[in-house]
Amino acid sequence: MNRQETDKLIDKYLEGATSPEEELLLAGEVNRPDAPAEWKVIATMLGTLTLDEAEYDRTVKSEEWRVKSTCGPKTTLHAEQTKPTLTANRWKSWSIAASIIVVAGIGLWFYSQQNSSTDIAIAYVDGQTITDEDRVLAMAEDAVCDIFSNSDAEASLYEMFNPEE
Amino acid sequence: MTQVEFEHMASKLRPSMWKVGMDFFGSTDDAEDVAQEALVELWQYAERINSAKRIEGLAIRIAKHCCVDMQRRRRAVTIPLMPTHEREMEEDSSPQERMEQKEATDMLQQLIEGLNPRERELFELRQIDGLSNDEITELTGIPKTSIQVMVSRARRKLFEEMKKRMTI
Repeated sequence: MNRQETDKLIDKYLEGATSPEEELLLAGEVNRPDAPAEWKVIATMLGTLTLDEAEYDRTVKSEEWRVKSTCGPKTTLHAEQTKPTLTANRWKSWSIAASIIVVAGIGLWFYSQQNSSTDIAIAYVDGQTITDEDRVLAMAEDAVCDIFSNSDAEASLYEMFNPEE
Repeated sequence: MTQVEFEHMASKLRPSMWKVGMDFFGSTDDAEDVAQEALVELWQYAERINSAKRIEGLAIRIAKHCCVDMQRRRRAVTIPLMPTHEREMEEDSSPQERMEQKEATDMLQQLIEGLNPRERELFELRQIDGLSNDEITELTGIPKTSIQVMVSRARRKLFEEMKKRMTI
């Protein structure tokens, strides 16, 4: 509010035509430390309750403003500042996730390779099922030795695979 | 208003006054102090209070005044510990200015007492209770235009007399 507007409001006050809200506005103007002497008289006439109510309202509004202005720009600033950090964080997360997937993938691949390359040894001997790898291999070796030690290999093989006959 | 009536009303007004303090200081302890101080101060106006509508508005105004006054007093305690240049920046007014302000208030009070009863009543309904002309019409039954004329007359008298006495 400029000086002319304040003077106009003072005239309205002296005419008894101001609203309580206008008087609070006027209180804020005439109570300034650098206010002219005439304005000081008006300030005294408005009274302590009006002057302090105006100051209260101004302080509460400025407090709200301060909170908003400090939080507002801070939030914006913070958002601006954290933008690259957020992007970096996102990349970091993605890298970690990708690494986990790659490691897990490799692990799974090795695991599947290991499992698929494992020979399953099963031997059926005299109606019994033998799954012990060493035993089966030993028996197979014996059988092969028998075959080669026997001149009639074909007969031996036939005998081996048709034990009932 | 009797003390019993006031106490009954005070219990209803306290939460509003407490909220005024809370909005200003943001602390429950300070809000309690404001409510307490404002109730004590309100009691000084008890004689001029007739209707509930007026007392509530006045209670809020007094609570706001108490907030500002409390803050002012705290500042006055804090300021002497500050370096002189900072103190000058922080202070609202110098001791001399405050003394002049007090003298002016006392002078005004004397002049108000010199007004005729109707002018005085209307001036104070505007100044202390913070009522609008419409509210005063509702309260007193006096036409709004007459209120404006009488308030204007009272204000102009006080303004001119104050200027004369303060040699402005």
